[in-house]
Amino acid sequence: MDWTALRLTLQLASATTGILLVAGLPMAYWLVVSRWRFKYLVESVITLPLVLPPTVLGFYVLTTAGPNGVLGKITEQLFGSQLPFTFTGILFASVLFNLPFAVRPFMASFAGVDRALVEASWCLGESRWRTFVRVTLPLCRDGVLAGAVLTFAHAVGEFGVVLMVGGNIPGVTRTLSIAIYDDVQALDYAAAGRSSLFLVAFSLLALSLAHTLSRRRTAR
Amino acid sequence: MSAMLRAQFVRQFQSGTRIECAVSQRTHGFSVTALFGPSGCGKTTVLRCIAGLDRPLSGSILFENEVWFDAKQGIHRSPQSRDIGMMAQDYALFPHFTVEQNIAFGLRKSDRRERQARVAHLMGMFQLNELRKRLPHQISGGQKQRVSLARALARKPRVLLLDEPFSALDAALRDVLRGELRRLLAEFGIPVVVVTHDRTEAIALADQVVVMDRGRVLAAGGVGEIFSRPSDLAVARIVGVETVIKGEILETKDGLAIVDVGGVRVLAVAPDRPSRCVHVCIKGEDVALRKDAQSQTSVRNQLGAAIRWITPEGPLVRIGLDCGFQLTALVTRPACEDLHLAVGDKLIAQIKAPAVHLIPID
Repeated sequence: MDWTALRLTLQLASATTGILLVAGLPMAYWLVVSRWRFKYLVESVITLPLVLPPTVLGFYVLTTAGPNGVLGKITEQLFGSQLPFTFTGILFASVLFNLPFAVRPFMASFAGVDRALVEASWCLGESRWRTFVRVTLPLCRDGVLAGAVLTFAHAVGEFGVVLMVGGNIPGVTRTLSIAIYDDVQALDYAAAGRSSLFLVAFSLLALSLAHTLSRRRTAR
Repeated sequence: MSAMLRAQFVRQFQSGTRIECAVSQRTHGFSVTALFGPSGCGKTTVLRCIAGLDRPLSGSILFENEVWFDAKQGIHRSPQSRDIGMMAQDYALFPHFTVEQNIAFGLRKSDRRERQARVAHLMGMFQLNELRKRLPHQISGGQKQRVSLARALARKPRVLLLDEPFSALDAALRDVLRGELRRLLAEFGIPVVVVTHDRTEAIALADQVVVMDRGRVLAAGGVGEIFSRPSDLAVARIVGVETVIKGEILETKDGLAIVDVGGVRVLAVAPDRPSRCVHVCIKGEDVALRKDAQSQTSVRNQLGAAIRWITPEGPLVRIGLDCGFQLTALVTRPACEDLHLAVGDKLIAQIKAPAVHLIPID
């Protein structure tokens, strides 16, 4: 097995999940409580990666983040480098592509919190933020964990976007799924088989965990 | 006149439903105002607007000299800053906190010793000591009500708002807890606004009643005034009981009570809870009228009465009687014509003992 690729894959998936926990939770909360008229547009954009081929998203990230793209010019100015074919680049693409896998389960669990509990907390003098921390979030713990596990698993298995944006640079952008593709191209079926088996076992485990977590939430 | 909570506002829903309300409540000492009316009449909306959970379209809500809401000035204070205690219909206990933690929830800002003392005091008062470490799903409905009440009162709110406090309980428990609730609340000496659709509840709990129907206030006044002398037909229909008067139980025997009402003795089924003072409630349709003396009858209450007023109401006639106390009878128009009833006539009012409903006053 390609240990470098595995380590890189886990790094990518952990970072993606971490970023989506920080950014996705407030986003999901806002989408649940907001009464803004055009909220559905934001929801659609977030959900887009579910139906879009990964290559399409990869293509746009590649062009906008490249030397002639808007994002590329900004990163060039700020950091003196560009995103394509770097770890940051595939992380950026991975976060975008995994948005629905995090935000949608978060939204579902926020929406499941009894509004009366939130209002009871407000009437007891707790601010909106404190109410979120003390009431909403603890009650959504399992749902949020399920979302995080799902995101992590999906990020581990991501292929199209990573290939489009990152290419195949060992130790930098070569994740496990890309290593499998590479091994098959090189007719090394044994190596591809080992990595594939690992991913199957891992995915099964992750899905079972996510399933148990969301079941526990509804049982309460 | 500033020691009042005054709410006068209009709340408009997107569906077109419009709630108009004018409620006032003394803010010093203990007194209870009931918002009373059929389901869907807008009572809960009024309570939510007072709490700050809903925002009215126009009008104002003033607590003493504080402006809680004013549409013209664009003021809408948050529920957090109104310093209220609110008990929701299904008690809204936090499922991930124990009984003790629920009660302490709103006391985060006070220091530890003070918080512990307050929680211990309330748990003793509401008899919750044995349930300290239980989670809400491990306690009964009546216990949940007590926890929710203790939690709302822990912060010493300036006004307590109760939304259908008994709706989540079964009927037997409701009867027991009704009187107890008023007694408990009285100990805190704070003003209370309670929403209810149950007549017995309103009579047992409240000092003042605000009658609402279809988003409007139909009448407001003291309990006796509203229930015994409804200002108009619409109010009478909603309150559904024509006579509510205070009485005193003289004697209880074999489950029956002899009650003194304005010098007249009335036989009734004794209330579950022993109590000397009671509200005597008699529905108009349970009062029968008779002109001549009758030898044998199963009806225990035979009261000599004089007709004070007669008001026709479609197929029915509402008759005001003086039989030592004010009693209202509801009879059909043909019955009234057959008996040739006229103001000033003397007759006998018959009320079966089971039709006399006693509500204890604590």
